[in-house]
Order: sequence, then C-alpha cells, then structure tokens
Amino acid sequence: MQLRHLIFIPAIIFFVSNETYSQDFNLFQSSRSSAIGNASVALIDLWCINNNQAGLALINHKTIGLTVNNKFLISKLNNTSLGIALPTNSGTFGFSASFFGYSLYNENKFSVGFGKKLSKKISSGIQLNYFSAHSASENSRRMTLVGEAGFLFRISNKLIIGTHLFNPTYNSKSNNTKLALPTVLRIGFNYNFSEKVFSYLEVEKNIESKNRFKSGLTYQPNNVIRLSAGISTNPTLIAFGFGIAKEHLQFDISFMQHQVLGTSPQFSMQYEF
Amino acid sequence: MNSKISFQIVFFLFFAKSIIVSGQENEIPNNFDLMDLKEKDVEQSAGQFRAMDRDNLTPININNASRQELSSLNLLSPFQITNLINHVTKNGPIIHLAELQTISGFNATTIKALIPHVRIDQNELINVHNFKKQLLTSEHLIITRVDKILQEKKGFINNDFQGDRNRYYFKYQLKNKYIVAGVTSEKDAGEQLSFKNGQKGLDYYSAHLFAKDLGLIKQLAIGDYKVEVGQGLNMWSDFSLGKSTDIIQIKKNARKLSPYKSTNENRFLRGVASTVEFKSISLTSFYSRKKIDANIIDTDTTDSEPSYSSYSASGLHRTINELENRKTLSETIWGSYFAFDKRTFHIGATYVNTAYRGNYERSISKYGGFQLNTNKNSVLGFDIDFSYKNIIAFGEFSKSIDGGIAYLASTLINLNKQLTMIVLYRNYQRNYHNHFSNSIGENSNNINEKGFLIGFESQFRNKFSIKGYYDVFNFPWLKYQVSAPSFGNEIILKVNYRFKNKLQAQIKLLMKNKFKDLASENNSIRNLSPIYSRSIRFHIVVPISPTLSFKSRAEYKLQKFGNDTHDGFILYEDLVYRKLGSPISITARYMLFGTDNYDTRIYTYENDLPYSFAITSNQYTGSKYYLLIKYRINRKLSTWVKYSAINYTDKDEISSGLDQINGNRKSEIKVLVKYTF
Repeated sequence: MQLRHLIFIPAIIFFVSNETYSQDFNLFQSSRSSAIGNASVALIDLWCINNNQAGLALINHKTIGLTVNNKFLISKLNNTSLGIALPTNSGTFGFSASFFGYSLYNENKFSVGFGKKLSKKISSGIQLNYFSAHSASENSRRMTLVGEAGFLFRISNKLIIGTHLFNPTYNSKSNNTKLALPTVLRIGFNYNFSEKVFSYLEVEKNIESKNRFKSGLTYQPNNVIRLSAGISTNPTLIAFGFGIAKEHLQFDISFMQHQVLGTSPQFSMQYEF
Repeated sequence: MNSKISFQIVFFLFFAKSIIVSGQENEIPNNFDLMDLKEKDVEQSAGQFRAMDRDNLTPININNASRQELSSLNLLSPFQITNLINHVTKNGPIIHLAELQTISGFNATTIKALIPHVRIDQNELINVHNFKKQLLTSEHLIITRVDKILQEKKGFINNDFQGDRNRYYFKYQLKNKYIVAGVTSEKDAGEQLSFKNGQKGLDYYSAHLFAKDLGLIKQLAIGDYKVEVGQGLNMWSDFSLGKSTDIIQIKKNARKLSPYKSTNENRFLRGVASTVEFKSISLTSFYSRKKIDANIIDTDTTDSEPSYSSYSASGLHRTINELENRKTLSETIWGSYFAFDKRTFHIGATYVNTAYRGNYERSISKYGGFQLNTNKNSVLGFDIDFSYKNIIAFGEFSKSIDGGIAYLASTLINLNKQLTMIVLYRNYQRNYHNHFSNSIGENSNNINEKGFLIGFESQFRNKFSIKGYYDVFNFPWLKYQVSAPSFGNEIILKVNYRFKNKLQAQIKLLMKNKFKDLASENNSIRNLSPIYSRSIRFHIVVPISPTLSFKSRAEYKLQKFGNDTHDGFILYEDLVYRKLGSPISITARYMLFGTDNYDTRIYTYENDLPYSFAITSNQYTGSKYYLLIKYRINRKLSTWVKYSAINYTDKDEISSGLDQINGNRKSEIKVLVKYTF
C-alpha cells in the first residue's frame, strides 16, 4: 500500500498543479454531465451556463441551481458552482459563480452568458468569464477575461448536434498576474433511441492536450428516475450517475472513476420556478 | 520456469500445429466472428472451442432446447433466449419457424441465421421415452486424418525427434438422444508409434461415455469429460472465450458436464461424474484421476514423490526430454456443484479440490510472488444469475482456501429494440489460486486484475449494426515483463453494414494501451513504458453468385513502445465455391503480409479440415496461400484435402530450435476422410 501511494503522489501533484488543473474545462460541469463522461455539448439543462450557452436559449423558466464537485475524495479539492438562468423575451441570460480550492490555492470564476434561438432549429449562445487563481506559495493572484460561444442544431426530434468553442483568443503563457487558459473546441451530439434512452457522444480538442473522446448513455425507466453511465479518454474515466426529476426539482449525483487517482463524487440540484 | 510463462510460451509454440477442435464440420455460426478473437483467446483456444463443440451435430429442436443448447449456437443474445423460452412456455410448442417473427427481439437476420441450426420436431415430444428405439437409431462417425509438413524440421534432420513426420488423428463417435460415446486418438508429427513405456501405439487416446436424461440422473460421464459451472470463475475445465466484440454474449451458460472429445492432452477430467436433478435442485459431483505432463526436476527414484517445476501443456512428446516429462504427474480433481434453478433465477455453490502427487518447486520470480506454491489447492464459491424484465444480472464469487478471493458482477440491460448495454466489474486478487478458472479478463489467468467494462450492441433495421466496448483494467501487482503495478485500457468498435445485394462490409477499430518493461542494459532496475496498439480492419464479403463468393480483408496495425514505432499489415482474398448438390466445394486464399517484427503480428482465421480450425499469426514479410477441397464420394463418405504454403521474402530459416526449417518456404498437406453411418 505504501508503495502504491508513493507512485500516486507525483501523479496527483501533476494532475492538480495549478497550471494543469485550471485547464480542465470539465471542472465546472454538473453531475448530470459528469455521469455521461462529460459528453454534454448537446445536453440541455441549467448547467449550459458552464457547458454550451446555446442551450440557455431552450430554457423557458427561471431556474436556479447548485453543484458541488469533489476530486478524488481529497477534501481540499472541492468545486462549488451556483447558477441562475433568466429567460426574457429576447433570449435567456445565465449567471454563474464558481469556487475551487482552499485558502492556499484557489480559483474563482464569474460568468455572464446569453443564449438565443436563431431559428426553429438553430440556437446559439455566448458568454464572458472572469477567471482568477490565487496561489499562496507563489504569492500570486492571476486573472483573465475569457469568452466562449456555442451552437446547437436540432436535426430531427431524435438528434441534436452541438458545438462549442472556449477561449478562441489563445494566450499561451501565464505570468505572475496573467492567467493563461487553453482553447477548447468541442463537437458532439445527443441521439434519442427512444423516450427512455438517450445517448451522447463528443470529441474535445484542447489545444494543449490530447484529443478526448467522450460518450455516455442515460436511461429513464420512468419520468422520475434517470440512470447514466459514461466514459472519457485521456485520461481514462468511467462515470455513473443517478438522478431524480420531480416537478420543479431535479437532483443528481454522480461518481467519476479515474484509473489511478480514484473516485470523484459530485451532486447537483436545480429548481425551476 | 514458472508455470504461467511456460503455459503461455507453449501456446505460442502451438501455432505451428493447427488447432484441433471437436465439433461441427467447418461451419462456424454466422455471427460468431472468429476473426474477432484476440491474442489471448488464440492462446487459449489451442485445445478446443466451445462454440464449435456443440453436442448436436444435427440441428437442435427449438421446442425443448435448453438455455445452454440455445446459447451454444452463438446466434442468440441472452434476451432472445429468454423471450424464446417464455414464448414456448406460454404459447406451447412452435409449429412453424415463421412463428419466430412474433417473438420479441427476433428480426429477419437472426431468424435467417438460426434456420439451418434448428428444427421443429413435435414427434420427438411423443417418443421421448422410447429408449430402445433411440439406441437403434444412433449416428456413427469415423474420422481419420493425416497431416505432413513437406519441409524437414531440424529435429528430424538431427534425429532428435523419435518418431516420423506424419501427424495421425483418429476418431470414432456414437451418438443418439441419450448417449454420446467415442474414442479420440492422435500422434503429433515427431512422436513415435511405440508400445514401450506404457505407450500403446499412438501417443494420445481419449475415450468418453456420456449419457443424459436418464430419469433422476440428468448427466452421467464415464471416461473423459469436461466440467463447467457458473461464469467460469470457480471451475471451467474447457477453454472459453474472453472478451470479444460480441460483448453481450459474454454471459456464459454452463453445461455442468459434457463429454471430452478433443486433443488437448492435459486439460480435461478423467473419471466419473454425474448430475442428479430433482425438480429445481441439482447436484453435480465429479472425480478425476489421471497423469499429466510436468517438468520433472528431481528424478531421484528413492523418493516416491517427484519434484516438478511446471505443468507442461503442449502435449508434444517428440524428443527424449519431452518423453521424460510425459505423464509424470498424478493429478486428482474432485468436487461438486449444487444448484437451485427457477426459470428466472439461478444460484449455485461450488467446491473443487485439486491435488498433484509431487513436490511443486517452481522457480522464484517477483511477479509470481503471490502465486500458488504448493501441490494442492481448493476453491469454494457461488454464482448467481437472474433476470427481471429487460435486465439480466449475473455474478460469481470464489475463494481459494489458502489464498485470496475473486469475483465478478455484471448487468445486461436491453434498453430498447435497438440497443443493449452491458457493464461488468471484476476483481481477481493477486493471491487467488485456481487451476481451472477461465472467466473474463485481460490476463490469461484470473489473477492480479481489477477491471471495469462497458459494452454495447446496437442494431438498425437489419442493415447496420455497431458494437463495441471500453475496458479499463488495473494490475495491482507485477506481471511477466511488467515490473511494477500497472494499468491499461482498451476500446473496440465494430461497424457492420449489409447492402441490398447481400454485400457485407465491416470496419473494426481497436485501441489498446498497456505498460511493459523497457529493455534495460543492466538488469537492475526496469522502467515501464506505455505500449500503444492501434489497428484498423476492413472486411468485405462479395457474393458473386449463389455458388461463388469473395471475401477481402485489409488490416493494419500500429504499435508504439518507448521510442519505437512498428507496424504490420495483411491483405487477403478468399474465394469460396459451394454449390448445392455438387459433390465438390472449394475454398482458397491468397494473402500478403508484412510486419516490422513479431510484436506487430496479425492473426487470421483460416478454413481448415472439419473438426478443427486454424488461427495463424502472420509476422515478417511474405505470401501465403491455401487450397481446401471437399469431395463428397457418397452420402456416407466424404474426403477433404488441404494444401497450404508460406513463402517468406526476408528469411532464410523459419522458426527456431528443433522446429527450424532451412529455407524460406513452408508447405503442408492434410487429408481427412469422414465416414458416417
């Protein structure tokens, strides 16, 4: 056991070193998204705010939500996000705030997004984010403003294709005051086999790392319960989730398994007014 | 040498030989894709193949076929089997095959594939107890076969091999509704025909007498037999398929006892066994005692118990050394299996005890540090299996009495008509010991492995199907040539498309990442490096006419390890001529292959004589062709001839050691005669 931990420690350090970690685009997603391996570029729920803002256009009710994500059962690696969607006559606005880390190292994100239906079949969204990262050891507070945009295409009643671009203005170097984030392009779809079976597939290209292939499946035996499973490559992840949707309330929990680092549990809830 | 390595190496050597299986004549069930077999399966398949080892050479009666019989066709998913059985129970026997269409999950493709293998026989239901009549209507089968490699191996030139260059094979079998009985015998090339040292002519004999459905006694085996229970974790003496793209067929349907008819000379049971069944309860008991091959290291005759370093699995007894190891170790296996069966629920408990008469002194290695050190082992375990609506769940647990535990659990969900999913978790501890464990895994033995698999199969309108799986595995302890705990993953995806004119196209993708030791100059510390394998395969079946069809395949494999990248490819064209009513049928292949090294070898299945199939590994550069002709002399007598040849362009000698052939060409001729009455 000792030996195994020794092997894992460098891996953990590598994985959570501030440079690498802040680049994990999937950090701020909901547990419903985690449960399908984050193959969620065409998934529509409140957490489009942190995912693909084009989905905001399809939210018709005021919605508020909270998601809490823990990494590898390490108490200091928690991420908490709060989100609100406000539909108006011209489109839907989304606001979110996210906090990750602890006193010695933390990251914050504040976002304002807007999604609008362009036609019956096409919707689009944009968002502006303010990121900041504080490291006590380096005595630094780095920050940046980043934009993102996405599209959703409803091809048929069964098929929705989504695409999303994060941070098109790539700036490769961080310095003591400036935080650099990678460009991430995602494209994927959501195909409904039936009213009970939903499948998701996505390819993610992060300019600084290998292509990721993600896929997931959600099974809804009835209107209340949903069961999900998903996978993701680079790194290899396997995920499961369980969700309940009852009237205005949705509640989801998920577990993501990293081959070396272990389990990351997460829960999300949202309330629709 | 450790038993595990020698086991693997021996199987690699085994490729030189074609692989003999008992079972159905050259007919591989349609959707059973032997080409999907992975290296591990190939290594393990040397003995026999379950899929082809169906008891029924004749089509099975669909109205009273058991779950095991139906699943042995390898054509039906567990859900289709459940639906079929439920349909028969609810609506009575099926009167016409067209009725199959009304059963949920049966589409035209399935039914078409099924028709040649099933029959509807209502008379049988009436005659069920006419035992005498059954005995008189037995089918008899006699097979003789001779193989010869035309080039002389080094072992023959040096006179190291004691016998002649021919391989002989003989088989007789009697079969009726209640009884299967027969004799199988074999002499490999290089083995001698001798009547000395306990040998009686040929090198290997096997005999079986197997009866079923004798009142309370459901199964009775005398002589050579196989035992398989649960999901193969506790006891599965037969070889079995591991992971394959047909991932939803992964659930095993154990036959408990079955006759042994193959030519693997070590891995079977010899003795008596029976299954007694009363209503939902059954009890299977077995006892086996025989001598197997082992590498004896201490031949001190004063000690009544020899010391041995490993079990030898090749069954080859050509040289003096090999002959010295022949049948040197006495093996006793006994155990029992208790099962409770309801239609949708099954639970079973197993106990197996294995003992060898001798002192096991295996060589010490770090990676084998937790493996069995003694000549005795026993396992105790249970298995569960149930279905509810569109869900089938199954699992098995096993504990080796002086070692660790192993278990697996899986769920199959039929999500809708088009989509079936499977999830499977397995955990085999590094100190779990079982000689006869044969369940799913990445390792060839069920030890030192944790893994999680998600798989699916999706079918759209009989035309288009896609299936695949994603498997993630960890090895908590060292492995052979992997000097640290490691992990890996594997993705396989296969797309099949059937065009209107019966043309079939298939694409298969494989990605696999594992770790292996980097070769180091000094032997002190070894570093692991990832080994990435990628392969892509295109396969097309073109029916030119009802009698003539072409099959083409291209496969490319890329492997990256350390700083080296190697690749390999194969390209072949098959021609199959088969005309209804014509006594002659012909299969031919021409293939080109080129690989950078042995690690980038590509496996191909090739047609072989009946009751055998061959999987060959193709490495280095060259061409290969074969011609297989069947000639039916009359209704009872048929003969097959196969000629095959390989020419290497980059080698002056083939193989190594005693198997070495000088020159760049290896050719082989095989002749088989089959007589039924």
